[in-house]
Amino acid sequence: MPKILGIDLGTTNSCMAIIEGGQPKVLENREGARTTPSIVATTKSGERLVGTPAKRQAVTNAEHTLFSIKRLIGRRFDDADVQRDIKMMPYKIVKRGDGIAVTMGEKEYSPEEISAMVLGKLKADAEEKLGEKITQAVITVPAYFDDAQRNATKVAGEIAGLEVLRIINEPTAAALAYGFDKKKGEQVMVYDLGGGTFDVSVLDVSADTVEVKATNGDTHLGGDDFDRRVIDWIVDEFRKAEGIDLGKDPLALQRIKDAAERAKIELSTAQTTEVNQPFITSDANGPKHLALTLSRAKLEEIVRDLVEKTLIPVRKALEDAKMDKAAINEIVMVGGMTRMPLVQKMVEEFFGKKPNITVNPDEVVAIGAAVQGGVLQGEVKDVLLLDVTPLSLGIETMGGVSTKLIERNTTIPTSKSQIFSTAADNQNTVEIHVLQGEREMAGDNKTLGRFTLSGIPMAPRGVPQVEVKFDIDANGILNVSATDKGTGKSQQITITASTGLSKEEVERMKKDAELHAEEDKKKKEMIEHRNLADTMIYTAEKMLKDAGDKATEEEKKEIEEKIVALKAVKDGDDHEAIKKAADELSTVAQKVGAKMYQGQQGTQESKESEESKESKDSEEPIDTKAEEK
Amino acid sequence: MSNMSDEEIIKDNTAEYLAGWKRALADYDNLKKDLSRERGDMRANAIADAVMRIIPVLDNFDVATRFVPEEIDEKLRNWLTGILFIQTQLEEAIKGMGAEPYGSVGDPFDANLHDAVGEREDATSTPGTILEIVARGWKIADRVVRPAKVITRTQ
Repeated sequence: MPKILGIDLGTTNSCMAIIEGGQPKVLENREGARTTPSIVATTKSGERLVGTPAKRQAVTNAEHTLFSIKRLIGRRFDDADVQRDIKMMPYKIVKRGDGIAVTMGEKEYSPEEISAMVLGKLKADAEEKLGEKITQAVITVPAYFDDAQRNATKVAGEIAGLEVLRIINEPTAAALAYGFDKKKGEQVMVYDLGGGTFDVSVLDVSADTVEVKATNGDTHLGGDDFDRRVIDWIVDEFRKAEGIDLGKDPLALQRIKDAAERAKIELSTAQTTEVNQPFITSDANGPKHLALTLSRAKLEEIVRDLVEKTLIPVRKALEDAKMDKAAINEIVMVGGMTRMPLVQKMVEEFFGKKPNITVNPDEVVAIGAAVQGGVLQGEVKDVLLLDVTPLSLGIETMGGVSTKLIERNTTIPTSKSQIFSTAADNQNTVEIHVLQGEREMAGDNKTLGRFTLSGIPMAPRGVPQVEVKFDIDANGILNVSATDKGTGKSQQITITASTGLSKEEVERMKKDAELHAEEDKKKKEMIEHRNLADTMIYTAEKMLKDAGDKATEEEKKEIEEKIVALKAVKDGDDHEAIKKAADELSTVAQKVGAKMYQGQQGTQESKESEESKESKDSEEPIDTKAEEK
Repeated sequence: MSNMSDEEIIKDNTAEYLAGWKRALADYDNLKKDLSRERGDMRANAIADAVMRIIPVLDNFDVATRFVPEEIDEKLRNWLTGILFIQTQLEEAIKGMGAEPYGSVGDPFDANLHDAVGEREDATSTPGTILEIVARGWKIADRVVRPAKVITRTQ
């Protein structure tokens, strides 16, 4: 099935996404970035550059570097916005028919052709990434775009070799990315604060249509304005402290620009940040350093009015939609600037509810375009729905602990097996107690069934290997089997009701597990310490028996004393004491153990070390089974 | 559909299931390949991220050395030599991670490698060549981690 590319063709940056395995995924460009600057240039040598390379050479080739083409596409030459842009843009904008053309490298291009170059790069990079041809796309445009602008965008796609299946509104795409299309009758506000533009839209999302009720915005307000405020603040502070104006030093300004942007981004998560640029300049007294601390509170103070300014279009859009702000069910945040906590806070205060920002705001529009592509293709519907196990499944092991074999949310059908062993010497049966639930202790989880595997040959504890296998088929039927690897004896049980819990039950059990997580963990740790103590005592006693004359009476006595000490505390509740006693026993036992091995050095050496290695290997995965019958 | 026999329907379904099953197996196989590729990418990205955090420190060392006063006494000179060893040490550390610096005055400007931060007139060089390295570029293998920041001669 050929992939449909979802493209957010932005004023400053563009982004692309596809549906893979039913899920939207942003594609990186050839340079490894998730967004691509919407910039095109022709160098003096006639080479054409698109994206990051074009941006990098802009300073030296301003006249032939085209950016913000989206402001021009599909517009008439006498349009007031175009007339303003002619004065602001470093490249030449000329009249062609009623429309416009831009010049680059002594040639004239329509804005459609320039946008096509950006789209063409995205297409080529996507093809390289995916290893297949891309021929179809869904492209987004601002909600306020008129027919001419939409049509021109479509033409740009076609020039780039893409069949444009649909042109959709950016706010609609953002809403799609959040899956609001599935809900009925919701009023959604999309707040899009990008690098250079601010758009706000009110959407009426119903069962299968999304209607744009109103749009508003500010075509020249965005992240760049916030950066400029921070730069100005840094320059000001430095002037106050050192009496030097860095604003006139282009190299220093370059460093400050980078530092300002970094500081702004850092303050989205941190409360304070260091703006540290040593050797920023020098005067007669030697080098000067820029070292400032910028707090989030200070940043918020210097940009607060910019954020307040965004609320004016928000109010206007609500007025135009003839709606009260209380009627808005969801607010969707789009654009990198919405990561700023102050922006989120002021929007939340205005609406009295938390805005949605869980989908990356730089990518949410492209993701929505990909989702639309998936809907058109039917892939989203086509996906075979696979079920998951709502709760973990496992068995009870030594000390009443619930050992999980299949974690919750595992996609089924699936199977998993693990080797267990006996808890006592000469134990010839094990009981498999099948459990469902998230709690650490068996008793707190739900019993799905039990069965006994008997006829295990006499052997010291930990030696028999019992393989327990869980298998859930596509219908959720759980099959648990236990096989003694030594004799091949096997028992099994089939549980049909493994997912037969009601939704409420599942929720309750999950909540229960979260509530008791801490307490359960302590209990489990306690039992683990106790189990460890048991194992220690058993090993040490065995060692005493086997040691013969290899250990002195004194050493034996010491071990015996420690065993008694450990036995005295092991059933108590003080796990520190258990741990301490077990550690002490371990230390003395190891000393004697090492001596015993030394005594065997010589002809038996290689065989012994091989054996001890083996037993160690098999011991690790083995869990001990509690039941002794 | 109505005139299809039971056998035909079963055959039809079987073919569909077989195709679906093959697709699932293929998807899984591709996922495994993707995952191993992504793991490689992730490792490369993690290294690049680490290198990126150290580069500004080296930039500042570079700037600092440009500001070394002309006349300093022997004592200070020796101390400075020690500090410059630390610079070298740091540079060796990120070179050990596979990063290599690049960019020198006189190179032709290449937008894939260089980020132009300014331009100026110059009588002796050809247009478009690099007149000054404001900050060295760094790459790991063929991947540009940070382009060199340069000033070029006006074209």
